[in-house]
Amino acid sequence: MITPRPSPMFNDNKLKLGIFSANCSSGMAVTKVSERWDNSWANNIDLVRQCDDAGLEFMLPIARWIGYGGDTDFHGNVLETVTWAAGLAAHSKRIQVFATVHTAFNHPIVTAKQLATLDQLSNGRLGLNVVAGWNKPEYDAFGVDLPSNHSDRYAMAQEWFDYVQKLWREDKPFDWQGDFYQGKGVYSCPTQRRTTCPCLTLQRRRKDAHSLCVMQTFCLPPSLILTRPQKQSRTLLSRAKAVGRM
Amino acid sequence: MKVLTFSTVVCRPTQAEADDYLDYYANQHADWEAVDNLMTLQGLHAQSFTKEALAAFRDRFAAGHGGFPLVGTPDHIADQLEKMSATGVAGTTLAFVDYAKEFPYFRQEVLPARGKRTAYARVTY
Repeated sequence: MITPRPSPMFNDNKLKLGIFSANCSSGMAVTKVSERWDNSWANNIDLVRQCDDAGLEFMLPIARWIGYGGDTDFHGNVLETVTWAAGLAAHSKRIQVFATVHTAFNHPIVTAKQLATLDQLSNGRLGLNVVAGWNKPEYDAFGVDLPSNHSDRYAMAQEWFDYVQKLWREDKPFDWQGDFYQGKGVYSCPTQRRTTCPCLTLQRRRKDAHSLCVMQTFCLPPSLILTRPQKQSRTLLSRAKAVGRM
Repeated sequence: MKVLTFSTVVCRPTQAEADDYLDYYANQHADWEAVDNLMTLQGLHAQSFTKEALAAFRDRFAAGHGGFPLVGTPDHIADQLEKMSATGVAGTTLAFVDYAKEFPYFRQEVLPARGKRTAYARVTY
C-alpha cells in the first residue's frame, strides 16, 4: 500500500491559507451583483487547480441543505461536500480537501467509509470538518429535532466523532452502545491509514470550546467573537491542553 | 489543537478601489433580506445585541458571512495577514466575490511578499 503523503495542514507554513465556501452559490458574499460566485463544477475545478499550483494549504466547503432566501436565495445552490471533495482531489495534487459533515444528518458508519474511500482516492489529502448543525430550517427539512439544549447537541456530536474514529481504527467487528448510537457487529473496512487526519470544527459559542477541543485538531471560531484574538486563541489552546489535545 | 479564522478578501491596486468595490457589492447591492435571515437564524438579533453591534455585524455579513475584512492594496493585506499570524492563529480561510477571477491578482501580488514576511512565508512541497 502507498504511504500517504504528509498533510499540508501540518506543513511548516506559519499561517495556513485556504479557500472557504466555493461549493456554495455566492460563496461568502451576500450580494446581488451579477459577478457573484457561480459555484458550478467547472468553476470549482478552475479554482482548485489555481490554488493547488499556488501552494495554498486547503479547500473548505460549507454543508448547506436549505438556502437563506432573499432575492438571490443565498446558499440555495450548494454542491454536496463529500462528492465535491472527491472530485477536487481527483483534479489536484497537493492541496488538502475537506468534507463538511453534519453529525445529525449523517450516520457515523456511512461517513467513516466515505472518508476512508476519500483517503485512498486523494492519497491522504482528505480532511473532515465536523458540524453539529444549528440551522432550524434544515432540521425541519430532515424531520429531525434541533435540541434546544446546546450541550446535548455537542454531546451527540462528540459521540458521533468518537464512533467515526473507532471505525477508522478497528479492523475487527465491535459493538457500540452509546447514548445516541447503538450498533452490533460493526466494522468499516477500509480503515483510515493515518492517525492524524486533520479534523476541524466551527466553534459556535465560547462555552462549547471544551467539548470541541476533545474532538478536533483545528478549530474555526466565528471572527465576530474574535474581537480579542490573542486572548481567545490562548483560551482555546489552554482548554485544548487541559483535555489532552496538544 | 490549532485555531483558524476566516476572512473576506477585496484586493485592488489602491485602497480607494478596494473600498469602492466593497461598498458596491456589500452595501449598495447587498441582498439585505438574505443577510437578515442569515443573522436571525444564527441568533444574532435585537434581543441579544445592541443596535450598534448589530449594524456592524450586518455589514460584515453582507461582505463575507461575518468574516474578517482583508480589504485594500496587496501591501495592506500582507500587513493584515502578518498581524493576524502574530495573534497566534494558525491560519485563515479566504473568500472572494468571484474566487476564480480574483485569485490570480491575490496570488501574484500578495503571496510573493512572503519572501519578506516571515509570518506567512510559504514552503513548497
